Amino acid sequence: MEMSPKQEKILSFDNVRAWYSSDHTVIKCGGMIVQRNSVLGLVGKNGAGKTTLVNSLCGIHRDASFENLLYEGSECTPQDLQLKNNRYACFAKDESFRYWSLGRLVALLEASFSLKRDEEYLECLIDGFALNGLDTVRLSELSSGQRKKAALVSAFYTRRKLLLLDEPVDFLDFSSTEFLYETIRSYSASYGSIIMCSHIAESFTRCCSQIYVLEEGTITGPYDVPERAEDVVQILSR
Amino acid sequence: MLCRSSPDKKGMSPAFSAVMGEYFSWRVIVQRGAVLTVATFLLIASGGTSLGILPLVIIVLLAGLSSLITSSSWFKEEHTSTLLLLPYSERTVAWSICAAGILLVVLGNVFPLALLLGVAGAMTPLEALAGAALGVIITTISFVAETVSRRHAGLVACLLTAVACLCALIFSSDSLRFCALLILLIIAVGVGGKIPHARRRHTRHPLAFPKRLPSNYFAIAALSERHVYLSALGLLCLGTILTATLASRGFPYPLNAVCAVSIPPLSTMLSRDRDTYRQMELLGNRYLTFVQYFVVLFVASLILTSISTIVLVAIGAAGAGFFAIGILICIIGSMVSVLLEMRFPLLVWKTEQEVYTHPRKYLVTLVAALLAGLYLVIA
Repeated sequence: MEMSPKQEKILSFDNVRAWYSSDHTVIKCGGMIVQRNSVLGLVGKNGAGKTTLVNSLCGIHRDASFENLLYEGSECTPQDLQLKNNRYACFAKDESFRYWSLGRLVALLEASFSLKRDEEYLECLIDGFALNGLDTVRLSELSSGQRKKAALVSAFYTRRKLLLLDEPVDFLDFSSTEFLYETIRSYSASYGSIIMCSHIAESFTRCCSQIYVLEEGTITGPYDVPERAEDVVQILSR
Repeated sequence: MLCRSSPDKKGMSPAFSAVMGEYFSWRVIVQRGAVLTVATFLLIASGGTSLGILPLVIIVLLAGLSSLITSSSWFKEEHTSTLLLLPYSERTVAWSICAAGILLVVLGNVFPLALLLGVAGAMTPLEALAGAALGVIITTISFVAETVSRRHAGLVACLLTAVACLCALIFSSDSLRFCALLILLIIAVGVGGKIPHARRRHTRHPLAFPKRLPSNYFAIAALSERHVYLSALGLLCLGTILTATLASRGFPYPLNAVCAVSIPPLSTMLSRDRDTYRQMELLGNRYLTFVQYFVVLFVASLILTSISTIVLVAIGAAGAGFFAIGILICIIGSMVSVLLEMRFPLLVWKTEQEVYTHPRKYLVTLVAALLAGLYLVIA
């Protein structure tokens, strides 16, 4: 069931296209409307193009085009400074800045986004993701799960208006997953909107307000989030 | 506040991270540089060539004195009050690093001054080279001490600097012994940087999260990769030998500088680290990326070029002009490398070897070779 978009939207676009070569177009059409302080889920099979869409929205995948890409009502491109300054992403696989520690990564983000130090929030994130004592350790020396947690801490700490999370649950243990769901909900209420890709049905039922489906190169939606995790898969087969 | 105990883990010492950046600030460098420049000109005006190596000794002593004064006033400054949160033992370490760090930076200023003295005729060419060599060694050690996240490595580097100063001053009149000393020092610095550090207690506190822009990521990455050392050493030897051979046949071509700017692991750092490249694109701070990357490439190539040129001059295979063209090649070559990495990164690869062997690297070599050819024409 499609829902009518609310008036207050932070990001929207139509007819997105993304390709790797002239004969390999991953995303052919479709659009999204991201409402302020909402959590949108993006569902799709492996290889559907979810990560490509996230990369395109981040301006990293340049072979993409958007029609009517609007950020807070103003037309823009993914590379525009206004969007860039208000957007951050946590990628599924991320080994960036591996010779730095989380502390240094946080300092870089503070410098890049002119963020004010919020030690209480930082403390809360580090405690929640059980990264105590690991903030001075090189990221390359952390396990996959710890590395993922560090990426999530830095992503949430940016407090951007638009946060893109690509497979945020990967590698996380049970308690951290619970904390992640809780943080996603509180983040959307306090700071900004989130677009989340995941292969875990529970992620959508626990956090999202709406779901979009990316299938065969087409984005459809938004759909209501089913109450049961088992029903999420049925949205894919519609 | 982020104060609590945590298990033992590797990482940067809080004391080290606390003083890092501060003693490398422009304020310190400019102030001390200005004092030394005035002192140098006064010495030239008063004694000229009759003073011999004395100006260099006085400059080194002045540098040491200024570092002590600056580091002594360290704790009085309000902005460093967070150091007082450290345990007493850490505070002592912080003070030591601070004092030694300022000494290194200030002595780094000897490099251009020594060249100036050589050009002005206040010192013999060999003495000027000794000063230049000091500057190169000290800059190298400073670079290592700043970026290697090992407290003891930093202290060892400081001790080695003191030894380097003393030895270079004593032996600078003998070219053979001077070259041997240089090689020994380079090895010592290399070994010193790798000395394993004892396990230490880490405390989580505000210093774990620096409130200023963190240090140069590319520098840390470059110093953490064995490929960089091997490639740099190989090209340093190759460049020096080939240049000496060419010079012996009446063909003074500064190939050593060309080799120094063509180190594949250094000139492909963004291409090989695709995730960091992606993150930097996401952050959009291209200016910061450009500056940080350029600084690393320039410093690394300048160090290699200077070492090579010093050896070549000492054996009589090159003249002072090699320094000037070397610096120019390092600047242009580093700039071209950074621009290539930022505009045309090699992101499609399966193994890092594909990046190393990509023909794109020859573009930088070509530009550097053309500049070197320009020198040949002029010379």
